[in-house]
Amino acid sequence: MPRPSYEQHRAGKAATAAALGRRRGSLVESETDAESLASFSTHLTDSSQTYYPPPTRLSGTPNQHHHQHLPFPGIRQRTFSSTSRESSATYSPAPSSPSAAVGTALGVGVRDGMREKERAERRERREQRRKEKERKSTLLGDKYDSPLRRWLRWMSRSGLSAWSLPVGLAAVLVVKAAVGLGGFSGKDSPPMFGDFEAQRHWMELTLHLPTREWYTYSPEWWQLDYPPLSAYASWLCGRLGAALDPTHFALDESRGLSPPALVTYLRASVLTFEALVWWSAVVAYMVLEGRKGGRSWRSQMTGIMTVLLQPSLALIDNGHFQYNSVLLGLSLWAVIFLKRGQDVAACIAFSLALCFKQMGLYYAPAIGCYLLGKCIHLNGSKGILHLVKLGVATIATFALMFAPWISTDPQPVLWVIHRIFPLARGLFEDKVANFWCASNVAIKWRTWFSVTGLARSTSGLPACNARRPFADDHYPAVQQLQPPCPVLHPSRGNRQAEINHAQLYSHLWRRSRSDCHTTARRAVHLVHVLLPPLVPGAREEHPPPLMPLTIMMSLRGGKEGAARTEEEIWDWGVLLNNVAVFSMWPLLVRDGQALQYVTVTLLWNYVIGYSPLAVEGVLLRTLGLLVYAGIAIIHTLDSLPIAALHPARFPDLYVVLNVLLSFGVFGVAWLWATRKLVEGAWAMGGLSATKSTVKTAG
Amino acid sequence: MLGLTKGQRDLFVAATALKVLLFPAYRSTDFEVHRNWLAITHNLPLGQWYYDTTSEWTLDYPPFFAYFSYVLTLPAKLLPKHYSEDLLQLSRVPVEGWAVVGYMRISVLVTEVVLFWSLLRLSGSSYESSPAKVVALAIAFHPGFLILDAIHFQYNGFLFGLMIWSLVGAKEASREACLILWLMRPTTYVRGVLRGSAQLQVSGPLIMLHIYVYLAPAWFIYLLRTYCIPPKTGLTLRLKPLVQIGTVVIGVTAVSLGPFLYLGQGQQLFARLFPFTRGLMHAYWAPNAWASVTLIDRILLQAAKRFHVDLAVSSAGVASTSRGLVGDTNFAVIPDITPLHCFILTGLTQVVQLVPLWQRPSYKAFLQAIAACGFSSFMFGWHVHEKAVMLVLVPLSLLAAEDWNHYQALVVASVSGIIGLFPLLFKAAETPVKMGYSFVWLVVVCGSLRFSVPKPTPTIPSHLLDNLQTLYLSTAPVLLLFTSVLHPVLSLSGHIPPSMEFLPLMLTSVWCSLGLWIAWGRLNWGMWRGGEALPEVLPHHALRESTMPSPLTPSSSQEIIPISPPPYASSSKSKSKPIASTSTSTSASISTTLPQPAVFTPDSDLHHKIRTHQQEYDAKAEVQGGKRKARRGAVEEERDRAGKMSRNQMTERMPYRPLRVHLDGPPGLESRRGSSGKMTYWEVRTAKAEQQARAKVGRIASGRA
Repeated sequence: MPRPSYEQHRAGKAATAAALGRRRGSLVESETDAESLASFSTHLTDSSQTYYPPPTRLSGTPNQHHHQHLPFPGIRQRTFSSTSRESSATYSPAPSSPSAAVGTALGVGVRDGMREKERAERRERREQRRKEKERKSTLLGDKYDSPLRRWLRWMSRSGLSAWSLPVGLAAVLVVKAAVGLGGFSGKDSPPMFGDFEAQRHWMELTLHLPTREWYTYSPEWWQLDYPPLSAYASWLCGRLGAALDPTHFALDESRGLSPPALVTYLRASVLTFEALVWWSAVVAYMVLEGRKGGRSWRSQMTGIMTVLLQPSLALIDNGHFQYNSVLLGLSLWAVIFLKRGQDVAACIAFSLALCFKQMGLYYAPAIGCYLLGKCIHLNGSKGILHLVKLGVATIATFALMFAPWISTDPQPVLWVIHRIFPLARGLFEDKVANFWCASNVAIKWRTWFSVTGLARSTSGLPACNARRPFADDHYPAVQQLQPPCPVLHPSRGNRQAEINHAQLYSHLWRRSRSDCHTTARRAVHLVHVLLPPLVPGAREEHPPPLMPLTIMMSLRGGKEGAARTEEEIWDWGVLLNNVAVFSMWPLLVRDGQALQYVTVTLLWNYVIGYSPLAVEGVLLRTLGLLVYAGIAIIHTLDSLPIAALHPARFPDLYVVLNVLLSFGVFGVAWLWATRKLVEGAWAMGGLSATKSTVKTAG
Repeated sequence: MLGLTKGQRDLFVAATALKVLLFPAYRSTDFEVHRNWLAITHNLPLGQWYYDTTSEWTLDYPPFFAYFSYVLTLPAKLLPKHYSEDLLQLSRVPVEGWAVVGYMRISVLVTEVVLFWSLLRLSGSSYESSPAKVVALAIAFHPGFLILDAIHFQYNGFLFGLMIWSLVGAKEASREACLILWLMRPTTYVRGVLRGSAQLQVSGPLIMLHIYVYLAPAWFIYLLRTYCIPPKTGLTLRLKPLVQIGTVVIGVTAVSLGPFLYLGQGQQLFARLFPFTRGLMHAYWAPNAWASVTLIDRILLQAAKRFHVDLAVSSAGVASTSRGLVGDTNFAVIPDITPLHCFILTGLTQVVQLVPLWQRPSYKAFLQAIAACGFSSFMFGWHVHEKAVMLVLVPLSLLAAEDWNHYQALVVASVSGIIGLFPLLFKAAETPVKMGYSFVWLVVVCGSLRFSVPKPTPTIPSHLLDNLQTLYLSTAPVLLLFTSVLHPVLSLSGHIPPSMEFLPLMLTSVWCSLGLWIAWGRLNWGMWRGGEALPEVLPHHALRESTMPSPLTPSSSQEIIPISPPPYASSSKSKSKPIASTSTSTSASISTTLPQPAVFTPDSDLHHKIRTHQQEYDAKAEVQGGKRKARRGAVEEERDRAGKMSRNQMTERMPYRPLRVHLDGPPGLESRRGSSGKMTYWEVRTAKAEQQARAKVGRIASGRA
């Protein structure tokens, strides 16, 4: 029998494989498989004499396989290997073989057809499942594809995975330093200048004066109104700076100075503090979270870069000039310690954060509730001991920070506190996107109420907190009005259950695989989410409230169950970040940061792969598109040099529009966050946390 | 988008965003220089361009750059009137303002697109992570361009874009046997223009900026050897191409210089372009040979002082070199250098370096010659500006993927070249930007090239050199720490006297010149080592299916060795080739009598095929998501093929092994073989024994035993 040419042979094979969509190499694998080697059919094949089929079959039926040399091809041989079965099923006998004709007569073809159909369906289902999996995968899915991920993928493919962190941090450094080349708050704007001058003045003042006089010196010029740790940091900067050039920090004579060398020095000090406190915290948090949640190094790196490149903080700290990153870093370190179950360290870190900037108090209710709840659940002497430990740590930290002002005379400390919470400065200073300012368009709050009275009333209303919300005498009221956080429910029931519960609770943060853990973690985080609408209440400290949300959204794409929620958080997170940057526009344009505002915001959105069109929920997508359209319209109208668009009667028209739009988005986001919080709390155990958690623990 | 891959787009967007952020950064006087040229070309007629002295920044670039400036003024006319008037005014004092800065900076960004485009063309259709693409991206986003163009302000990106464009022309033309036909065939007109651009752009960059004169010899020899005196025909001169090239060159020169010569301004033009009144070194010493010489001079001077040796010390030199910041440098001990010395030295080195190109005018040799010419003129030139280091770095980057030696040369030249550029941005505000960006670039480029450039088995000198280089590079952080942190801080606080102000600059240029010496040595070594280095990893099929000559087979080095392409690349070709041919050819070779110990020097054709294969392999790797997976896929495919083969074929066929094949013999032998390329005693012996064994087998088979 003449041998078919190799080309013919291969063409036949290819045709068969294409017709069946068979997996590549399946034929061969069936041969080499240990299972199929043991099978009957393969055995027979090996014993057959002629290996090559006659050429007539080649032209007729393209599928050649050694199975057709079985003595009784119609009889299906049972093998363990699925691939062998597949191949034998595709066998269709050659007309020249009499035994094959018998097989056809027996109706093998019909049965084969049915099986074929089933198999095709199964294959299709399998394919669908694979596609679904691929779509959801953060590694391969189109939805998650972003320049950041592409870059990380390229790095690890080039064997540079270990270098991605240093390279990423260097890139962040470059971007932030480049932002610092622009203008800063109060540049060339006498008589009072701005935040830059304030910070420089504090350095000068802490450097030259005894500690007692820090908060009382020169009330007419940028008086120190941040807590002591901030003042100590100023002292350190002043000390180092004066070693370089004392004229920059000469007492009283250096007011309003901003030579390039000084600007560079202060910018460098911001970057240094940021790298030491904030970057380290973000890296530590992402690594911790990634390890617990089983996320890859690439996901962790994506998270780190997403948070560090966030535009608001870069524009405020490195552009406008402030030291917010230290506050954020210390708060994040507190959260990290909480996650690790190191509550005392968390207390110290958070107290330091509060001692750096009083805006940290926005986080205080959440962290306080969490710690208090933990003490209650530990129950009895354990709980009290824990409470005492935490209390001692907190008080000791505060005492250490306030030590220079503490004496038998309470007056200095009270004065410091009065400086830090200057209720006399009014409900809001500039136009900011909070409730009070937005509603001021309709209702003139400031003329209705005396200043202090309103501050008192706002501190009782956590939902619409204004700036400096926590006047010291009203602090407990805030706690009482916290949303239903299950950890606050005192446990009831028998003793065993209580112990179980307490154990569960103390381990809650260490468990990685329990659903309970996920929900609990989310619940506590969502307490942070509450904050965005409150926050723009402060002068321009937008970044603090955005921090928890950005941290949460940065680890995008989760396990099956959590994926939807995480998507939602991601979409809301980007929207709120963008709106927050937008709400800072009037401030930034005054600082000469307009170019940086546009570039950094667009860069961040591009790098994280955000597209408002790809948002999943219809409602959120519509909202987002409307908001972006509104932003575009406001910017366009504002920038067009047409006199009719800038009526003299309303000089602040676009600023007010900006405030209204931003406040609207913040308000909706606040409602969403509250809903999420309630949902999370409900999922953890409804109104009675005890029962369900005990069940989970049991 | 625009034929860019996603990764390229990402890089482009990120780099552009960074450059936009750098708009308010420090800009040198070059900014006002270029703006003033815009004003000159806009306001004055052609005849007065080279005579205008309103501003002190007179026009002193060649005419094509003046035309370029004129083109840049055209879009400015679309701006609102008060902006364009502000921008294009002739004024004695520098013109500032955000609109002016924005316009000039944007013009840099836009013209830089030429560089990206020509690099895209140069790297061709090969896959993203292939070395060629990495090299292309490395040049496009070179920190040198960031420092010089985006911050310091110049149009280097555009000019180098033109240079690389001409390389594209050279590369494409070099593959064609028939080169000049394009003039006569209208159908090939488009491709012909591209090919012809090789010639056209020889003169383009030259006339744009005269520092490119240094590279001209390489272009000259290359064109002469490829077109006019091709090596095949001996030394006969082909007149037709010579006339064509001559026409193009003269034509371009006429367009450029003609108007000014016609107006009788030749002398004025020449005086402006080549001011020989400047000193040996620029204000800040460029890190070249003269920096090292100055250092030696200083050391000798100190030694003479200390040991009271009576040397002929020139007092001018003592005063001059101690400042380190002067325009005119005199040496204290060593005799002074004149422009003539520099010229002769540069010319001699260039002539020596052009010999390989003359002998073998291939594209790679051309690249090497460009790099070498640029390098030599940088090292020995008169009044070299530190910016000229880009003339070295760009061609070197193009060579970096060739072999380990060139890769190492790139690493050391990049580090010292880029650090040598740092003093240009003397303000502290840009320090994090320039250092951070350079760090990112170095890690990404060198890191990924390191994995794609195979490292040969080290010999003792190469091992020593590599380690010395690593030692040298590891001192870079110390230098940077001192020059950018310690020295400014200590001198601000008064610990270092102001007389030591020159110290960081001197340290930088001396340190960098050392690195550039190493790179220069490596480049020359690579040129003179001869032969084209093969990649260490030879694709398995190239071995399996080709009639690769064993040491037994007599083969001339000129022979073209056919290789079938990889099985999955084009299966039709591999099928048509009967696999049994391998055995027949080997059996034929057995019957040859005495083995001629021939060294296997693969032809460039083989080289090209291997490259193609690797690129296809990489492309496949991308499709399948990772190299490891691709390798697994290749194994599966191999099995698939095995399953479809006959038993006979299977037994005949060599087992699949993704071998690392060492064409020059087993890796252990590498060190034993001398650089002469002759076979060692050991190899000859093995070959003989093998031949005897084969002969015996043949005798047994033929029944003559």
